[in-house]
Amino acid sequence: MGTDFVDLNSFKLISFDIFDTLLSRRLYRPKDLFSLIQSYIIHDDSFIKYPEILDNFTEWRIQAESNSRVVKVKKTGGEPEVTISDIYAEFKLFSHHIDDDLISKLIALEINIEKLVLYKCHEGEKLFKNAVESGANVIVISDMYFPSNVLKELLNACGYDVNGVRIYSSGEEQLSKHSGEIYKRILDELDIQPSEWLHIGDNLHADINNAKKHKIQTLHAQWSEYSHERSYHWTAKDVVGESIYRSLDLKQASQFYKNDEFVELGFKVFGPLLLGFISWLSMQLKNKGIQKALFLARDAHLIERIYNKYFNHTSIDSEYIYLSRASTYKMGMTDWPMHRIWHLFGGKNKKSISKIFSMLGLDAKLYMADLHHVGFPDENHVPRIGEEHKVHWLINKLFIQVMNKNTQIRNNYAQYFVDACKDYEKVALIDVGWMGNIQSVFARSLGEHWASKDIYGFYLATFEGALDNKSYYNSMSGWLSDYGSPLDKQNHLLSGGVELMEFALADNTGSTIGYIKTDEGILPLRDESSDSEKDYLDKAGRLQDGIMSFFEYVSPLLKINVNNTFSSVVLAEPFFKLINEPSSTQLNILASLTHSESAGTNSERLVLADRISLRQRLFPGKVYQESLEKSYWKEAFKRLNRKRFWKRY
Amino acid sequence: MKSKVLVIIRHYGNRKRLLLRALQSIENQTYKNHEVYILSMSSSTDDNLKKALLHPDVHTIYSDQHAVFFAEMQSSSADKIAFLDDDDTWAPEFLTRLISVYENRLQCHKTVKAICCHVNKVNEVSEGNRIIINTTSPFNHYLPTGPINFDALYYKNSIPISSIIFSKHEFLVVAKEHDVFDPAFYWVFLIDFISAYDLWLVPESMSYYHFRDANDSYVGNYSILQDANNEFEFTLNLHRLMRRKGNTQLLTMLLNMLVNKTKHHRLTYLENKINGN
Repeated sequence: MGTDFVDLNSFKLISFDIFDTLLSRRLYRPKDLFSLIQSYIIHDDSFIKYPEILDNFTEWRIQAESNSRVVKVKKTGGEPEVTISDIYAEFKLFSHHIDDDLISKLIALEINIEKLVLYKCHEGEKLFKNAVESGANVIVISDMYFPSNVLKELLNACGYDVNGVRIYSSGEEQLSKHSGEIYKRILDELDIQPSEWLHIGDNLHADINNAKKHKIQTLHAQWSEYSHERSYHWTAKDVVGESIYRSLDLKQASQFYKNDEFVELGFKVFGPLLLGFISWLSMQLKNKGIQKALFLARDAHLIERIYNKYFNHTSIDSEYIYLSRASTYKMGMTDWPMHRIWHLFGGKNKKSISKIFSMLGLDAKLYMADLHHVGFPDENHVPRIGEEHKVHWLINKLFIQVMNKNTQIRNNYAQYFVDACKDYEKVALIDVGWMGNIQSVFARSLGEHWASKDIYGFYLATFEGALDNKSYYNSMSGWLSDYGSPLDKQNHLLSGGVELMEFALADNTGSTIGYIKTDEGILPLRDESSDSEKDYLDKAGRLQDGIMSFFEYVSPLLKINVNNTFSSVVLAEPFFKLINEPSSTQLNILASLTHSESAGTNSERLVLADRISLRQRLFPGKVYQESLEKSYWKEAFKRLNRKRFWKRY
Repeated sequence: MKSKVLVIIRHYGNRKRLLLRALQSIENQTYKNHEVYILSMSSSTDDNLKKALLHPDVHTIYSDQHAVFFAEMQSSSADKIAFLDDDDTWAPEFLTRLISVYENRLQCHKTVKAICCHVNKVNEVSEGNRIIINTTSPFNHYLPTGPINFDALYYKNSIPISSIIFSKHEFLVVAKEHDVFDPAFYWVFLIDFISAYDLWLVPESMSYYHFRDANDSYVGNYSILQDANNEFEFTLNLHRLMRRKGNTQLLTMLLNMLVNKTKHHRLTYLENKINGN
């Protein structure tokens, strides 16, 4: 029977199951709660005296519950119903080091963490409220090892008013819904006719079929689900990471986000990704003793917002600073390592000589002789494929001019960066990452202040190319991929992950094109968003709403305050799945997005994956290969342009 | 057996669980005539270590107490000294078997003043205070029984510190020229030690060299996390040894090492050129 058609006024007694009826968990499998507890105790030094528990808690807890049920039946017969104390009495037998104080501490911890994991289901809440308003006697029946007073605490913590509501716990009563015996007991105890009783629960056997055997009316709660699978990850944080992201696909999680494709994508894919990254980041900031965290425009604006709202418990001084490749490359070149120069003008977008020069702060018209020496006709020439070495040669010829111009710009504006670092010794730059170019030029722009500071960079990922920027004086770390290792993750990111990530983090504050001196100090000059960028930013904004909804969903777990628990790279699995196996919906909403990858070129945007003509798809040749090469999101291109054009991609 | 062994655990910062495992490894030794010191690389104001310690009999010396360390070593009645890094472990028979060989089989070789055994590498994952051991594999089983050749020391960790027992007197004679509190002291110290005395290898893998994930920035292996700093210290310490007068064997060996290193870099450069890198 559907919940909208139930007339609650026709019953004298209405009973509710608790788990997956009134309450749901923020975890995919109920047993993952034990991994979350293990994750807590392995980071709490007060448990260090018990190494066997640190190493084995989850397995022991599961085994203890199973043993306690066997022992109960052996000792007293009847149903294998136990309480939490019975379970931990068995747990104690695993090691002679375990004392009663520790057992009390573990039980209290399990109850506290259970409170953070649970939330109320909207459907269950609505029915519970209506049941109370109907004037019927409302009771709660749970097949659970927690005693009724703890069950009451859990319901209260989730916002249910259960004062005056009788709670039956199978562990306490020694009778269960699973056997059906508890229904008989309640019928006798409350002296009520079965036809006057409605029971609402999620378990088909215990809540529905067994209640029906006693002629009790039932309502099957189908708004919440969970899995009985087991996780094969080794570490507690990986089990928890997997459990969190998979819980987002459970139907009850949909109550946390708006019905919008971009919002859903933010909630299910980019939310977990950022949880993992920002947890890792918080841990790094703490471990390295960072005093000032600088979040770099524009990709890090959301990272900063989430970090300060949910993670900055240590009150590290943090600031959002405006810079970009276009604004920093002009002032951070204090040396001339030729391998690093190449990074300045690479990319899929072809730029004219004039544009390349402007990125270096130079006017190409003043260097026509050098242009002609390397074989370029004029400053408007756009180098073709195969002419890259000429561009490199040209820039190398002008190293004195480039460095002198850099010095001039640095003298004018570098104080902006110096001020951001203040007097702190340990300063961190935070961004999505990739090659480490901005950190490299940022550190060099600090002039005489540089050597008195330790500059760290913490990034979502750094690629193999970042090795060009690696130096004893320039510490960089990537979460998903560190200097390109592991290689598979770097390759996934390079097959569309970078552009999808930059879309998810896009900010509408305009990219930084330079700086200006004012009475209030040096301020950033920001670009206006182009029309094509406005649509892009609108979609990104919806996706970011989904990310923030995810953090609201997961925020109670963050109160456990062990960042390491949530730093598992397993949280990035939905993101890698998006890159490598996008669904039709995801292709529909994302493939046509445009991206600008080169410094100061927001007006030159290319789509992530384009569609080519049917003829070129049926007979793939040069056009197909060139388009594939040019597309950012490789898998999307292949799916959009496959030969079986009649099938949905 | 009459030897008494001073066991020194070198301990770094946050690694309390690892330290407790090392202490347990010592407690499990079948050879009980030993005294345990923790050489803490944190300062004496850090009381975290005291809180973590459940072994009241263990002495602790902090990184700002150099003089105390040498005074205690000198005055101890022990005649042997062994190091165990806080993340490494020993088989329960480690001390018994090595001391037995040292006392009964090596007295005829007067220059042998230290003994070591083969080492197994242990890969493990550390998650907070939890340890998950993954695999073990041979680490230096290519080294044959008998005195260690000088050129075996070309590779820095070919004989990990946790696999050696030294004669205390000779150890202190050489160690006074080195900074025992410097995490990078050991390799250069061993070069210096072997230039003066011999080290004997017993081919039994009773010492276990534990490695965590290379990207574990919290309790990862010190030598990996501090690789760049260690390299600087190694070079500076080697140069210091070379400037010392009187030991021509050592100077020849170090110069050979330097020539080999430069040759290696040149060959790598040429190889890259040929391959077009």
